[in-house]
Formats: sequence, structure tokens, C-alpha cells
Amino acid sequence: MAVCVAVIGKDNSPLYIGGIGNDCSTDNELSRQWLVHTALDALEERLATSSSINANSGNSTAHTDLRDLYGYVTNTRIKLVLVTSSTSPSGSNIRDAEVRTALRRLHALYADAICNPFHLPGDQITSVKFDKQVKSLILNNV
Amino acid sequence: MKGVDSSQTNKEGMTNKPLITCAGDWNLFCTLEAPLVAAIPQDSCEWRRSYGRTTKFVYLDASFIKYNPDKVYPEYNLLKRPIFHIYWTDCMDIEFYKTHLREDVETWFKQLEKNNIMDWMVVLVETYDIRKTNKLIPRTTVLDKIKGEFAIKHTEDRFISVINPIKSEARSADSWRGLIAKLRHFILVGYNKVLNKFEEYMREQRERRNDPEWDFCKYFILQEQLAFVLEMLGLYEESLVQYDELDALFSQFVLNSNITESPKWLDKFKQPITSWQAIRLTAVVPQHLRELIIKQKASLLDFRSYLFQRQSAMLLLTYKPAEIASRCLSTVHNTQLELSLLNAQSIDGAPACWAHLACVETLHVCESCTEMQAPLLHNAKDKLHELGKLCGLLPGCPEPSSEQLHLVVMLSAGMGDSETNNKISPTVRLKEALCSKTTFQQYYLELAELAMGTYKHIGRLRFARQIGRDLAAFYSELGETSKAVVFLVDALRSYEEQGWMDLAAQTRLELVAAAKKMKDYERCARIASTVELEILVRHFYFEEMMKSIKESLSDKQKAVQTELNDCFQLISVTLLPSERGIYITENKVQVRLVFESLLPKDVACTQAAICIDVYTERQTEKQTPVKTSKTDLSSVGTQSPKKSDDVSYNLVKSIKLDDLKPKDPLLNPMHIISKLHYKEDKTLQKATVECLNQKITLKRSDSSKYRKPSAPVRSNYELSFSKNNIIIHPGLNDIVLEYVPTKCGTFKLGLVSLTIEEKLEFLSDALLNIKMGYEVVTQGVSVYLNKVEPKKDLVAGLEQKMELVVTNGSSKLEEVWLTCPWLETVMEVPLHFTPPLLATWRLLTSNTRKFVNVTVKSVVAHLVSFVLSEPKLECDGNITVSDLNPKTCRSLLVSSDGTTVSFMWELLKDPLVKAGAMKATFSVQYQLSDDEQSRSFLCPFDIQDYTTLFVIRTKLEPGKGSDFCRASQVCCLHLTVQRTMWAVLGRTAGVITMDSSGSGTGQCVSLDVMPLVAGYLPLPTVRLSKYIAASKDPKNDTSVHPRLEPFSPGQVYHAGKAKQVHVLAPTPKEHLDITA
Repeated sequence: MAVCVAVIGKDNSPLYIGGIGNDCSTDNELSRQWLVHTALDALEERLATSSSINANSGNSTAHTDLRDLYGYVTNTRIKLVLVTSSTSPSGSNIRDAEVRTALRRLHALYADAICNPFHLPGDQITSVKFDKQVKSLILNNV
Repeated sequence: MKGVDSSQTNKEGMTNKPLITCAGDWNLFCTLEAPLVAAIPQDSCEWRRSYGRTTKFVYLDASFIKYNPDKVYPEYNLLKRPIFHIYWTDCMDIEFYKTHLREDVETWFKQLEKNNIMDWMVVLVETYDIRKTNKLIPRTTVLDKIKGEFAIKHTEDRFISVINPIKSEARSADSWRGLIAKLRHFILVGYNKVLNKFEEYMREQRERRNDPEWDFCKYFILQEQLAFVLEMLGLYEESLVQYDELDALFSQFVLNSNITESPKWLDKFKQPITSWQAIRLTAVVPQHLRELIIKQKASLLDFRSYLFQRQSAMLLLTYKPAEIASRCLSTVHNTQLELSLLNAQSIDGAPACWAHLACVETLHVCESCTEMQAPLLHNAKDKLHELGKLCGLLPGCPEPSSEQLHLVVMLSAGMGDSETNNKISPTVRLKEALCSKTTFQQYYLELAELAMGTYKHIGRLRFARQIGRDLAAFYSELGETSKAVVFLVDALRSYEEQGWMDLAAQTRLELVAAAKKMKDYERCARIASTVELEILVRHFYFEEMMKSIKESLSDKQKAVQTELNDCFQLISVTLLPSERGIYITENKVQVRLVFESLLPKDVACTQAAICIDVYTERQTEKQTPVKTSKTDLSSVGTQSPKKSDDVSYNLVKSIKLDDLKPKDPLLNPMHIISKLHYKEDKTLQKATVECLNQKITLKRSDSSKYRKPSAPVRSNYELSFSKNNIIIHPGLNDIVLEYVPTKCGTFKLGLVSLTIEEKLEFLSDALLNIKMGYEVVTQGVSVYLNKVEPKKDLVAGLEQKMELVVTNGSSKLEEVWLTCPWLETVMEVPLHFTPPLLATWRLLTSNTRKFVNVTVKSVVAHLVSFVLSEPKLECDGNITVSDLNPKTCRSLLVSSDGTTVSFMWELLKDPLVKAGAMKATFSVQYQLSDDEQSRSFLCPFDIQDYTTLFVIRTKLEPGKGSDFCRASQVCCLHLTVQRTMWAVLGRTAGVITMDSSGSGTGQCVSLDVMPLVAGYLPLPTVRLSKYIAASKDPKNDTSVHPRLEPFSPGQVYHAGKAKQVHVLAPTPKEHLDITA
């Protein structure tokens, strides 16, 4: 099960970080942010080496005692990060294909969200609809 | 002898060699064994495999044993089972063969056949005899004989004769090489067969994995044999594949155990963990662990250690240390996950010990690849921290309790003894570190610093920052606050740069926690102003800030300065316009400052001030290099130096700070145009949409925005707009600052300062870049006389208010006297008064009676109404006036909107007496409609030449012979002095002489006139003028010609002026005049 989804801008600032579950207290929210933030290092490394931009990079190597991180980069260098819990039964058994599907779906949701003409690219995504859709994606699809 | 040393064959792994049995002449073989063993690995051999697997060149090694027909080899033990069989003989004598050898060979073949062995070879060793060379070659040799008797199809080439290399080295080379090549080839052929069979069996075993009786450990040992063989053949990568398959299989079982029922064999891995020895990354097979697996006594850690060591061995052999490092991390993570999934019991810290040791051991292996070292160090550091926490070794912890000390002993025991006596072995170091706080801290800091350094080196700055935070927490507990602050500030900056506000806020909290002893009010203030944080936290830090201001700053003389933008945001600054339009000395200038306070509570501001700088062109140029923003430099560059008079025009009067922010380039419209491209023959080639200005979209964003602005230096506040003792509320604040200038000149606004609680001063240099300012001049005393109502005319005759304004200008006036201006110096003030009323008069004549008509109107510009009363006309002389005005109408109203009032009087005079000029005065009383007081309006005028001198009478008669006037017929007009719808025929003017004597009778003139149209026509106009004859004397008069002079309007009366005559239409003609 995915526990967190993050959208990171091309300047590596967070555009959206959403998590679900009962661990929504500030503490866990923060820990997710630390996690996603450091994962950017690994993501960037992959981006620097791989030529294909739309590559779906696998687990980032750090901090996977409890979490697995999957990254996805759009053509506009927006980074989508999916965090799964490696301790939960469904999370540890997750297949790459499922992750890929979820990330593609997330990409579509993101594209929908920024189609809002009042949204300024580079701003944080505050759309309630997007948040709702992402959370349902986390809950159902993965 | 090597070949019979059976203890060798028990060793496995790297010591494994393909087993070859030797039958026949053992002594012969023994002489050849050494060169054989040496020769086989010297060259590679092509290994062709079935199932389309890639062909490999492998180097073989071999070990030989004596053929033992009684020994039964287990079928599916690849290692203990001989792979090839050779029969050796040096028999050259056919007779001897027939009598002795044949039987032996036959037995051997039968035994092989019984065991279904197809991999064999018969070698006949010949001794080269020079003496024999001359002899004829024997018809049949022993080899031919054997071949003939035992060879089946396709096995002829398994019979080889070789010249004994020991006895004649030179001649044997060729045949020897052939033997070795064949030997290699047949060994591989043998392996191919065996392995195919083995793999089939292995697959079968694997397919049974869901069988309750199936055992993973057995299967592991089985498949590992394949790995061993592949390793033995030098195919390390393929060997690794076998281990990876086993790894995956095991992992999947463990993961599935969480969901479905776990198989029985898995329970063995749930046994309590008692040993967490460091893994050893060598190519040697760790036999003790393998034994445990074979005996099914291995714990999960034992199994994982073994597997990882084997995998690493293969990677080491293929020179892939980086791969080992990354596998180490995933193994460590997986193992810990599996430990929790299987719920394997262990003492606290054992897994951490194991993970730490694994990471550090791996570090030693992959010293060459830095990028993999950092995560390993990171993990090792984290695990060490975990251990330190468990054992009470972290700084700030109380001394370890006896339980914790016991734990250390247990952990050390579980690690076992380091095999090597190397002082720096990871196990030794870890044991040392767990012994005391000092050694622990030393080791932890070493690892952390190394990890951070390595992360920085490989460019993973975010990880480095994270370790920095850990280090900061550690140092902070150690009491080395200053070191902690350095790391946190570093981390904070990078989070802020990249827009991770939550992380920055959190780091700031840590920073304050770390720096609490330092009484860091600035950071408290920042935290209190951080919108991202919860309000309670902000309140807390606000109080902390106030506390630390009071505690630590109370003894300071001067206020401590800090950056304003952290806690307040300037919204706008506006210079309020002066009442007089310009700013003058000694007169206050006001600035409205609007800012937003981010602090969560009201705060007392001792002084709000904006510094004032003298504005000069040079000064701005000096200042701008300090500000590094590029845009400013360019704006200075384009500005041409101007005269100081013009300077004030350049100054901005009001600024919104939002305007200063760089515009989001995304909001700029792109200049996209459509374009049509034509070919040479003017036909359309293509239509394109083009974005002309690529620079705008491709512009690099200025990196300077990431630079933290240093707190501005407080400048001279002697000149400043200020306001004291205000309360700053959270949110928007709007305050007006004042300053009374004493000097002339041009000034600009400088630093903005808010002093809180007397001691903490927030400074902002936001205004420094903007040329916002004002000009002050000195103004003298001035006196103005102003209309109260500027739009209204001054009306003569009415009392109206005016104001006298005395402006003191820049000087102070103590007393003001008003003196009569006509006494000393006269100051002329032009004032324009408008008369209230305007009267016009006309003289009207009726025969000899004379009337005076006076019309009164008002021409005042604004609307004013007068009530007129008592109109009067007074004439001098003896002329009396008869009032013809109605007496009943009391009030006559004249307004300046165009209404008029007319009066009429008749002059009563003797009509026959020609009166001279006369003076008349028209007077009327007027009063404003809302005023009681009435004033008189006088209008004197002269009346001249008003006596009627001539009366013109006109009479029109029809032409001769007709009774009526008809159009187009000539009529006769009789003028009695007297004299055109009228066509005057013949004479149109004439001169008549009036005799003074011949009064009474008029002069008569007759004229022919012809009406041109029918109808009631007014009579033709008659004008009477004085005739002045041509002067005889040219000197006397300007004209030599006679001329006409008009009479005054009252002197001639047209009696028939309004008369009309009826003209009939012309008589119809009887016939048409053809000639006309």
C-alpha cells in the first residue's frame, strides 16, 4: 500500500505532498517530507545518468528500512514520488507494473490539476479535487 | 600422491575440481599425472551447451582418483561424482593384450555400461623407440584391437594413443596436445550431459516446493551444487544467477508467509537468533554456515549471511565491488524486514549489530567506489546510533544501567571473535565502541563525518544535510552547541533555498532547541513568524522571544539589530502629499507605512522609523554596487545624469513592495505571431506560428535570489521619519510617520526600522534600491486676498466677503498686525467688479410724440436675482416725463439668467419746438431677493436730435387706366416728403429742398413702381437723408462730391411704414406672345 505521494517541481521544491492513513499527525507528515526530500538525491542521480527522461526509476536506495520509494519524471522535469510501506503485507509485495500504473495515473491527475487556468505553474497545488483523487489513488489502486 | 588423497575431495567450493577416475595401469598414470594436471588448465576450451545456451570458453581443472568399481556415487551429487573415466595402458604387445589386458578392459567397460556411464576414454601410451622407426608399421596395434572390440558408433575417437612425454619429450608434443584437447572436450561433453540431467532433477524438485514435505534447505544445497560447478568452470556470473534464484525464492516464501500459511520448513528460520557474526567477504566458502544449513540449524541471519557472502564471492571474482555494496544495503534492509515478518526472536540490537557489521565489512571491499560508500556509511552510522541508544551510550543519557551493560556483553558475545587478529576489524571496533561512551562517540562521529563528507563528495547534498541534522542533534546533546548550529544553519539554508518550508520550519525549531542556551531571540522571532507552523508553537516561541529579549538584552545599551523581512512584510510606503503641494522646511512631512506583522500577537513597538538620506546622483551610484541585483545595475546604467532641479521628478512618491518583486516570467505573454511564407513566385509556401523573442522564455532565472540578504547596517537615524510607542497588531498595520525638515534639498527614504521592546530592532533595506523621496524648499511669508466663493463674480454695490490669507511659510510668526495699506507701501491687488445691472435705452417716435424705453438686465456671471422698485426717469430742462409704467406691479425681478425688465416713459414736449440735447437719468431701486437693504441704480444718458423733422407719407396709386394695383403693372408711388418688392422705375432717388418758410405743406415726389408679385405688399422703404451739396472750397471739406448724411432716428417719422397695399395678380393674357 502506498503511504505517500509527492509532486516535486522542476526546481525541486515540493508542489504537493499527500499522505493517508492515521499517521497524519505532524510528526509523520514531516518524516515523509524528509524521506521524499532525500529521495530527490537518488532521483536526480538517476536522471543525470539515464538519457530517457520519462524513465521510471525504481527504489531509491536510502531509507528503505520501512519504505520503498518510486520515482517518475515527466517531460517537464516534474518529479512524482510514490512511497510504499515495505512493512505492510501489501506494500512489500507490490509489483513494478502496479507502481508504474499508479504513477502514470498520478501523472494524469497532475496534468488535470495544472490545467486549471488559475493555477500558476510552479505554485503549490492546493486543489481539493486533486488531493481527493490522489488519496483515493493511494487507497484503492495501489 | 594427490590422486588418492580422498580428504581433498571433501573440500568443496573453490577447491572443487572435476573428478576423473583412472583405471588400468595406475603406475603408468602416476608418472603422467603431474604433467596432465598442469596441462589441463593451461588453455581454454569451447563449451557448447544444449538448449541454445551461449557457448563459453572455460578453463578446466581436474583431479584424478583411482577407479574403484565398488564405490557407488550418488547420482545427484555433482561434486563427489566423477565426471570422466580413463583407462590407461602402455601395452604394445598384441599377444599380451589378448591374454591379459582384454579381460580387464572388458570388465571396465561392463562396469561403466552397468552404471550407464558414457563418458570414458581409453589411452594407449606408447614409448617412442627410434629403433623401431625403420621397421614396418605393424598391421594392427593394440589400440586398433581394443577399438575394434569395444568401439560402438561415434565412440571411435575415444580411443587415443599418445607418445609418452616423459620418455621422449620432443616427439610426444603433438600427440600429447591432442590428448589434452580431447580430454578437455570430453570432460565438457560429460558435464553437459550431467548438468542437463541435474537441472531437470532440480527443476522437478523446485516444482514440488509447495509440497508440505519439501524443504528449502535441502533444495538450497542441491541447487548450490550447480553454482559450485559453474564457479568451478569459471562461470561466476552464472553461478551468481543460481544464488540469486535461491535468494528470490526464499524472499518470496518469507513474504508470502505473511499472507498465506507458512510452510513447515520456514519455522526453522524462526528460531531465536544467537549469533550475529560479521560477514566475511572472501571467496572462501564459509563452511560452518553451510554446515548449519545442511543440518537445518541455520537461523535467518546465518542463512542470509551465507547467501550474501556467496553472492559477494561471485561478484568479487567478477570484479564488481560496487554491486556488492548496493546488494549489501538491500540485503540488510530485506533481512531486517524478514526478521520482523518471521518474528524471529533475538536480543535487542542484534539485527542492528549484524547490519552495522555487514555495512562496515562491505565498505572495506568497495573502497574504490565512493558513490556506494556513502549509503553504507550512512546505514552503519544509523545502526550504530540505534545500538548506542539501546546501550545508553548516547550523549545526554544517564550512565548505562546494569541491564544495558549486560546487553553490551550479550551483543559482544553474539558477534563472536574476529578471525583475524586485525586491530581495525569492524567487529573489534564495534566491540570497543560499545564499551564506553567516549569510544562510542568517537566512532559515531567518525562514521557520521565520513558519511557526510562522502555524500558531499558524490553530490548527494540532501543526504549530507540530513546527516548534518543528526550530527547537530548529537553535538547539541554533547553540549557543543556551536558545532550543532553550524550544521543546522547549513541545512536550514538549503531547505529554504529549495522551498521546503515545512522542513525549514522544523530545522529552525531544532536550531532554537540547540541554541536555547545562546538565547537566540532572532530565531525565536523567526519561528514565531513562520506561517507554516501551528499557532500554539508560534505563541510559545513568541513568548520565548520576549523572554530572551528581556533577559539577555536588558543590560545592553543599544538595540540589537536583525532582519525585518523575517517577521514583518512591508506592503507599501507612500509619501503623503503636502497641503501646499510642495514640502517646505519647518513643516511636517508624512509617510504612510503599511506592513504586515507575522508575529502571532500584539507587540509594543517603541519606535518605527524610516531613515532619510540626502539624495544625490552620485550617492545612488555608490549604493547600487552594494546591492547585487542585476536589474538595479541596468537601471542605473540607462539613467542619464540630470540637473538637480529635475531630480525630484525622478523620485517615486509611493511604492508598493509587491511591484519590486521580479515578475513571474510565466505570466508574461509570449509574443507569438503568425507568419505567411511565400515562394519566389508569390505562391504560399507555408504558414507558421512563431515566438519571436526566445530570450524571454529561455532566460535563466537569477540565482541571486537564493542568497540570504545580510542584515542591513543601521545608518544614521538623526534624520528620520518616526513614530513612537505604537502597538503592532498581527496582520496589516497602517501607520503614519512624521518628520519636520529643517533643511532644503532632495531627500530619499532609506532603511526602515521597527524597534520592539526597546531592544530588538528590525531593519529592512527594501527601500534603498528605490529612488523614493521628496524635495524640500524654504518658503517666505505670503499674504493672499481670496474670494470666499471663487466662482462668483464680485458684484459692485453689494457687500461681499473676502478672505485675507497670511501664510507664514517656513518661518515662524509670533504676532501678525494688519496695517492700513494706504499708509506706507501700497500693494495693488487687481479686483474686477461686475456692475449688478445693465440698462439700455431707446427713443421711440410716433409722429411727433417721443417715448423713452429703458431695458434693465443683469450680467453677473453667477445667478443672482434683484428685486427692482421705484423706477424713475428724470430729465433736465423743462421737459416733463409722463410715466407709462404700470403702477400695480410691485416687484419686478431681474435675474442674471437673461430676464429683462422694460420701462416706458413719454417725453412731453412741444412738438413744434426743436429741442436741443437733453440729459436724462434713469434710476431704479434694487435689492437682493434675500436682502432687506435696497440700493439705487442710476443710469444717466443723453438724448439728442429727438425732434421729428420730417414725416414721410407715401401713397400708391395704380397705373393709369386701371383700378387696382396689379403685379407687373406700373403703379405710381407718391411720396410726400416725403418719398423694393417694388421695382422703382425711372428715378430711384431725388433731391428735394425743404424751405423753412414753406412749412405746413410738404414736398411731393412721384415715382413709378411696379409690384412684381401679387398679394398684400408693404410699401417700398423710403429713406430720408440730409443732402450735403458738393463743397466749393476744396480746403474746407474732405469731399468734393455731394454726399448723404442720415438723420437721427427720432428726426424722421415714417407715417406709412406699416402700410400695405393690395396687389392683384396680373390680368390673364388673351393670346400668347409668340415672339417673347
